[in-house]
Amino acid sequence: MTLESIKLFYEALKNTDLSVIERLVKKCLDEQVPPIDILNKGLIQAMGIIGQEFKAGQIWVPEVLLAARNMHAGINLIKPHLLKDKVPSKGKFVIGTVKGDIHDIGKNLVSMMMTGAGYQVIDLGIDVPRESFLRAVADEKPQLLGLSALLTTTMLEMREVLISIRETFPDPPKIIVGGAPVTQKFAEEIGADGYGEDAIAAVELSNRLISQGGK
Amino acid sequence: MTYKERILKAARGEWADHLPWVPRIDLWHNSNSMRGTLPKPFKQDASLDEIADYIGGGYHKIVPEFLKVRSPEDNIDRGIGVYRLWGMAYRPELIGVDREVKKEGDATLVTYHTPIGSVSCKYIYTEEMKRAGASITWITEHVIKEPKDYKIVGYIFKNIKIHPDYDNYLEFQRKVGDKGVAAAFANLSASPMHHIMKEFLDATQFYLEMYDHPKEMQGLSEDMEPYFDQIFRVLADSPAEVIFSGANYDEMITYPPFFREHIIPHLQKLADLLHPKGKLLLCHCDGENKGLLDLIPESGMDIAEAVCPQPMTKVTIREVKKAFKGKVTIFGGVPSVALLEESMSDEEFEHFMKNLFNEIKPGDRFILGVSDTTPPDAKFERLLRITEMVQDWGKLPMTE
Repeated sequence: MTLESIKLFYEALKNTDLSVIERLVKKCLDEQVPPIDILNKGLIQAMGIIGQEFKAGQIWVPEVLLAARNMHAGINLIKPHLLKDKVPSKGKFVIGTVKGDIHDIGKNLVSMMMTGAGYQVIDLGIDVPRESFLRAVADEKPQLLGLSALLTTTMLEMREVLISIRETFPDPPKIIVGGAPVTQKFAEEIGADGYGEDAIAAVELSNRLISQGGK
Repeated sequence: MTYKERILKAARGEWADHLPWVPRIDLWHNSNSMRGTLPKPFKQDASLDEIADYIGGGYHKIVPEFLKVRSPEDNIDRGIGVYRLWGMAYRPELIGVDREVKKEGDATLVTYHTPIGSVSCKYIYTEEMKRAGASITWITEHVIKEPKDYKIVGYIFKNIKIHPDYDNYLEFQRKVGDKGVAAAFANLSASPMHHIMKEFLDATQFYLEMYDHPKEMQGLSEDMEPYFDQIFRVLADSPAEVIFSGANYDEMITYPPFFREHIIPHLQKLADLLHPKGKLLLCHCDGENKGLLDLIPESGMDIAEAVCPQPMTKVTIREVKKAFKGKVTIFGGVPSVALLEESMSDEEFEHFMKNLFNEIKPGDRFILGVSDTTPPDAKFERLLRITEMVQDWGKLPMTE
């Protein structure tokens, strides 16, 4: 894919009209562009630019969410082709806001950015009980598990989830944590594999952990 | 000087005799009372104010007690962000709307029937939330679910009549006495659009709706203007010295262009009504404010309450002070994680607090508080230790 086509993807992801990205992806498929290239060199690269713009304070959360929604639409169109070609995802990422906490905007941003970065994301939602995290790890066998909390009252639940996961699974996923009251020190204290200050940091951290061998 | 005088002096940019220390402990108190874990020497039924007296700071009477109701009517409209709580200086009346209420376990389902259609919402308060000390119910089903709902919600708000309820407020003010400032509550939202964001839609959905249904959203915002205007006028004429309007500002959620377009004009409008009458405007700024720091002094806000520094946010108190240029009083400074042993050792806490006091110097326009509240598992002795520090180092102006 050329620089020009990345620009087209970038503009399509920022467009409020969902059909623009759908038309672009369909056109690429019609032109026999390999689905993996549409994903990696089109959608993911364009989303990466948007992520950097967000990090630099050039765009704001509505634009990121809009781009993420468009990205999802694009991925849905190429997903059958990727499955047919047996293209592996970058890694599987399970995420949820821990029990007792219903805040989801931070988790949603991480979830969307991780999808945008090429991960297969399983979002368990908000107020997720420990058992649901355990079940998801057993069923999905993710390389990464993300725990989110916005409250000082619920951040301590992260430790409980983390302990349960490590006690239950001999080969547990890497566990990353984030949310307003969570700090690097707290993450270290509870033994998390990493702390993401924001959605972009969570992606960078995940990439690092995966490159070090994932699980 | 009394605590009230100290707080008001700091809020007005004047010198008090001592740095005001006003810890918020409601959530901590709720949770530990419920769990039976209030520390010695307190009895398990010790009141919030009893404990505040023991700590030795002023009373934090800013955020209303959303769950302590006199009748179900007080918070039955929580799903649309409308309250009739004890201590409020106004009372909203829904006109031309039939309300249908159903209880489903921990959930309350409220349906509003209007001549142009019906909308419904659901909120919960679970045992687990009680144990965690949650101070407000959670909305699990928002009132706007489809485009037609904007008009119906608009009808509800266009027809709300705001009545002054000054006797109710005066009772609150009398109870607080000279131990603190009884803030008169306007809304958790600062403006109609902020209200739509906070109360009517899931946060993620709100932003996407800005693209998908901008006209409907704008129409609803316009329908809600009279509701805000009535509240602003009633509060400006109230006996309160401080008015609380707007909460949870955050550079990501209420990002700078949103803050500039949808929050500042309404804060300015309210401030313009309050200031000629000698009243002050307070906002609950408990989020990540780095990107909003330069905008806050333009807003007319006098007190930025629940200002939270590193390590919970990206800003230091020094940076906040610099950005506020002496126009806005900082209320806060102690991040709630500083009170948790899981997050800071005793040694780290001491170091953190010493550094904080250095940043606060010389201490003008500063009310020391916990941002945004003391967590249930806080080490209680740390609150007492802060009281000692304030006694030792808090004489104003602070020098060495």
